[in-house]
Parts: sequence; structure tokens; C-alpha cells
Amino acid sequence: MKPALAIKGLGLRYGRTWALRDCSLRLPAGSVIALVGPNGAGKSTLLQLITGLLRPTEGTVEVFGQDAGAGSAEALAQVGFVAQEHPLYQGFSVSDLLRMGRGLNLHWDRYLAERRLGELGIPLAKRAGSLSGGQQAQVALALALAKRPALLVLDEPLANLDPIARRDFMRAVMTAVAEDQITVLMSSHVIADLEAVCDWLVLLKDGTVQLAGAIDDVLDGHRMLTGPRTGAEPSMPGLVRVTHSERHIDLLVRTGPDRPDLHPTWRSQPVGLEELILAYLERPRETVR
Amino acid sequence: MFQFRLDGSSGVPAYLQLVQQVRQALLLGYLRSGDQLPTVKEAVASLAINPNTVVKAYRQLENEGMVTARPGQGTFITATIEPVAPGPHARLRRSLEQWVRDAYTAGLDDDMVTAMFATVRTELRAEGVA
Amino acid sequence: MIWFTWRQHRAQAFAGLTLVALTALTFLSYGHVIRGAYVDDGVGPCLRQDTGGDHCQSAMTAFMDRFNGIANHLSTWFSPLPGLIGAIVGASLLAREYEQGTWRLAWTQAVPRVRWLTIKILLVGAGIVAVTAALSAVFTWFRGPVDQVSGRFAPGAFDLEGLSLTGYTLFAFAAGVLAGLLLRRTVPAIVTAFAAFMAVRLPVEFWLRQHYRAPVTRLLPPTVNYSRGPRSVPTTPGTRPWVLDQGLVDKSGHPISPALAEQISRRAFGGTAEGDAHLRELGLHLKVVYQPADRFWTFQIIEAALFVGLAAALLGTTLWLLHRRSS
Repeated sequence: MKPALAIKGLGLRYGRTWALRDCSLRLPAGSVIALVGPNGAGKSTLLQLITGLLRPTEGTVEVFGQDAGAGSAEALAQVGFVAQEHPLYQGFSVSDLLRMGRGLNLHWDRYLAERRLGELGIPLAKRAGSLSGGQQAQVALALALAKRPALLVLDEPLANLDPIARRDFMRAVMTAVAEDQITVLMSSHVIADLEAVCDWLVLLKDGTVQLAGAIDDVLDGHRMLTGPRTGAEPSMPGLVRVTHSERHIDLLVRTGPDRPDLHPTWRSQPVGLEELILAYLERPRETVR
Repeated sequence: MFQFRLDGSSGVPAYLQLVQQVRQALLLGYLRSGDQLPTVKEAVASLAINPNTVVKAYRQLENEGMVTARPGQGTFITATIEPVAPGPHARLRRSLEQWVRDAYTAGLDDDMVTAMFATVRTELRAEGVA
Repeated sequence: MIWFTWRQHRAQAFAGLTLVALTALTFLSYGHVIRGAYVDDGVGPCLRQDTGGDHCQSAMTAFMDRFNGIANHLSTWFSPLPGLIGAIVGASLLAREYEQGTWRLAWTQAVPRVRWLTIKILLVGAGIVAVTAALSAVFTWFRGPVDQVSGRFAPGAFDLEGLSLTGYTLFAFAAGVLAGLLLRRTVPAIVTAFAAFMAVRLPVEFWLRQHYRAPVTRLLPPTVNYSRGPRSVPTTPGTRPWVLDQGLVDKSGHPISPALAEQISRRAFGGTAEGDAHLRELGLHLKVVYQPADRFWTFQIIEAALFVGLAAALLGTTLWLLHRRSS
């Protein structure tokens, strides 16, 4: 399948520090991709490189074959972006914002935007600044979707939203996925937000990609091995994390297609998504790679 | 129309929760042959989940022969799961009763009984028995 | 994009129009008073009759005593105005977008950011030109009679009339846009742009401007009135030039010694004519170094070109930085 995003050797440097380095990814079209990592891992940087807000120091980003780094109208037209805290012109009315979208875009589905906002009961005459946080997020999403983008990029879309607004927001995003088969890339540091909605995972830490793949494949490719604790520090290929208890030891390992042969005193169990992500995020820096 | 629910904290993958809910509803008689399941869009709109998850669940139900997708119309229940026959049902219940009695006699409390049951179930499932 | 720019800046546009309206209302009504006095005191005919007699001298002195002060206060009140207008409007272009985070909304629509900013600069710049040109027209009309006497090179005239007000404002605007890009905060950007504006504008007024063209030097019959500032006798017929320097010189063209100057100023003459005669007997001349009044537009064009050129350089830098910016 043609990738929605093809990223090669991408890096961005601020002054002397690299916010992102050696990032290469191919993300399949039609998937809902979770971009996960701790604060400061480079998530926003990566998203802003994809949306053309930042120019890469090195490497390339292609969105459906268009160079995003160039920031051309065509490249911008196929990416819908809802930035962190879903910024809007606070003094504009909702219909002003829609008119702005129509004026500033190559494609504009006015009917779609008005229908979405109508279903949510958001009055078009109201000033953006007087809407609730959840409503503002919905307006920002409606603006991004009315562009009819092939790729929708959401930067921490659920932060600052109450649980109902979160569900409503994801409902709107998922409906767009169901209706238009758009590809979604969303960042979050709250893993629970992502489990039900994402089928792809990109794990970013310290400006580098730690793990990327379809969530099912990733979960299939990892096992939690539990066995008796011995004196020696365990070492085996693909070891992600070791957790010591008093008498037993948990090893999270990347197994590949072949399950390792285990001594009968060891037990092998599947790993949950949250546990897996946490294990990768907790790894000390020097064991990376 | 049948309504799905999702329990985010159960640890059970979302698509499996959907499959189990259909199975359970069939067992309990809430769903019968000919009933229509929510369309993918409807399920997505009510649960705020990835449409691919719903598609995956429906595909599995279809593979298990419980539903049939009719293009352009939706997904319909085509099978009824036979409730467990009275004979085996009574037998299973008796043996479980005996096991729980033994457990209490051996000094296990409610939590320990539940934990042991869950462990055995998980292990058997991991071995592919269940 | 045109509607969007209008929607974002319409409040500023209304403020600009209000400013023009209030200024016009105030100065047009007071301007009538000045015009009336100009006619009633017979200042016009005096200016046309070369230096005029003592009657004209006193009429013009009275007129200038009455109105020159207010006309020059104008420059004090209004000379920071272009800096303020320009800095506030300029800073709002980028700093406000950064401050409110809306740059991420604005530049992820399908208008590339360099084009986005270029269009905004052109439209807002056109608005600035319209407002400042209107203000200049009001000031020019208001100061008309005073300018007839004191010339349009006077600080309150040169800085507010013609092209300079527009040029200054465009420069401050450009500084505001660039400061907004670099500082990303509205208030610091306004302050920085205003400071930069004053740092350029003041040296230009007090030092650079007089060098735009080589001044004219003339030797005139001596007079004891030369040192009386704006109310001194016109050294040339018609509108007063911009006098850079004047003083009594001896036959060989050297300035008179301080001792002699002291002696002249101490001496009581029966009248201006007697004093002037005495100076002639001493063989002195009045040397005047000046920029002729008819160079007003030449100087206006040079100064406007300077500030508009600086503005263009700043805006070009801003667009270039925005294009290659990685943060």
C-alpha cells in the first residue's frame, strides 16, 4: 500500500541540540497512528515537520508523495492539523472562522463543516472565545476536516478536555475515519486515550524512534517472561526491560516470530499495550539500541 | 438496535470485547437470527473507536459463522448459539460446586478462589485451549 | 485572504479612521482661526512684498507669537505618533499570532506562510498609507498659514507634511513586524520597534537631514536682527528657507571675534536701521547657510525614500527569515 507518510533520515536541530534525529518511518494509509512519548521527546517537533510548520535540518518528509518541508499550497492542502490547545482566533465568530477556512484553502467542504458543528449544537454566530474548551476543539477539528485532508494530524488533542469532550472529539475523528478513510496521526502522552482508537504505534523518546509498527504486530512480537530470580543479571537478545521482585524476575522481551524455548520454571505471557509502552519509555538511555 | 459497550480498563482488546458481547447476547437470547448489528459508522459514532476495530470484530464474527455481511445493507445475525444443553450444564455445575467446596475446606478465601480460577483460565487460553 | 486580513485588522482600521476624524475635527476648526488671523493681520501681502517695512515686521511678529507655539507643539505631540501606530500595527501581524498560538492554525491552511505574510503586509501597509496620508493632509492644511511665514522645513512642518509621516510609519510598521517574528510577544515587540524607530528617526532629523543636499551660502547686508530666530527677518523673499547657520562676518569672510560681537550686542541703537547702518560702516556682512525653501519636496522624497527603503529592507529580512525559519 502507498504510504501516507514516508520519512527519511529526518532531523531537526535547535542551535546545538537535536530535537529529533535519524527519524525514518513509513506509515500506512488508512491507519490511525498513535505517536507516543514522554514530554519533550520530540512529538510536537515531528508533527510540526509533517505539517510544514518547521523545516527539517536534514532528511525529508513526504505526505502522500508531496514534500511537506517545501510548505507548498498543495502539500499544505492535504494535511489537516489541529495543534496543541487547538488555537482559534478568539475574536472571530465560528462563521468567521469557516469563512477564513474557505478563503485560505484549495478545497473546502463548507457543508461538511456546518453539518458537523450543527450536529454538535455549536452556534455559528458565537465568538470562538466564548465557546467551551470542548467546543473550541470541535471547531478546530471541523476546520481541519473541511479541508478534506488525506492526513489528519492531531497534537495532544485530548489534553485539557473533560471526559465527555474527549469522547465527543474522538467520536468525531473516528467518524471521519469511517466515512472518508483518512489517515490519522495523533500524539498523546496518555496511553489510555489511544488503545481503542489507534491501530499503529510510533514510540518516540529523546528525539529518536524507539518502536514503530502495527499495534497487533507489536503486541505479538513481545512476551513477558516470568521466572525464578537467580544471582546473575539476565541477558538475552531483544531484552527490553527487567523487573526484579524478591523471588522472581520479569523480563519483557522482543521475540520475533519464533518464541524462545523456555525452561519449564519460566512462564511466558502476552503483554498489554500500556505495559509495553511504559517498559520502552522507562528504559534508561544507554540501553537504547 | 443492539448497543455495544467498551470497558477501557478491562485489558481485553476492544475488538474482542465486541465479539464477546455479541456472543453473550446470543447466549442470553438478546440477539436472534435476522437481527441487524450496528453499522460500522454507528458503532464508531457511539463508542468513539477505530472503525478498523469494528471491522475486525465483524470479520471474526463472520468467520465464526455468527453473522453475515450483506453489502449495502449491513451485518446480520445468522446463527443462534445453542444454549448449553441441560445435561452437560448440570454436570459442569456439580463438578465446579465440588471444587469450590474443596477449596474452602482447604482454607482458601473468596479472593484466592477467584484468583486461582482466573489464573487457570488465562493459562489455558494462552495455550490455545480456550 | 483579503477578507481574512480585513477581519483581523478591521478594529485597527476603525481606530485609524477615528484618529483621522478626531484630528480633522480638532485641527480644521482651529485652522480656521489661524486662517482668519492670517488674512486680518495682512500677513500674506507682507510676505509677497519681500522683506516689508516695520509695519509688516510687527504684523508678522504678532502672528507668529500667537500661532507658532501651537503649530510647533503639534510636532511634539505628533512626532511619536507614526512610531506608535507603526509599531502597534506591525507587532500585531506576527507577535499576536505567536502569542495566541494561532500561527499553527494560520500557516496550516493552504496559503504558504511567506505568501500569507506578503499579502498581509501589502494590505495593512496600504491601510497605513491611507491613514497617514489623510493625517498629513489635515496637518498640512492646518499649518498652511504658519508655514507661509516660517517655512515648511520647520520641525513641526517637515515631519508631519508631505511624505515623511507615511515613510516614518511604514518604517515603524516594518520594525514591528520583524520584532514580532523575533520576539514572539506583542508588548516587547511594540517597545522594541518603537525604540528602533526613535533611534533612527532622531539622528535623521537632527543630523542627517541637513546633508541631503549641499547647503547654499549667501552674504547679505548685515542686520542686528539676525539672531531673533523664527521671527527674524526673512533672508530671502517669500517662504522662509531652512537656515542652518547665520552670523556676521568681516570683509575677508571670517566670523567676527567674540569681543566684537559682544560690543555690538551691548550697544544701544536708536532703531534697527541705525544698527544696521553701523554694521555696514564696520564693513560686515551677514553670512547665511541654508537649504532653500523650494527644496522641500526634494528633501521629502529623499527622506521618504530613506525610510521606505529601510522598511523594505526590514520586511524583506522578515520574509526571508520566515521562509527559512526552523522554529
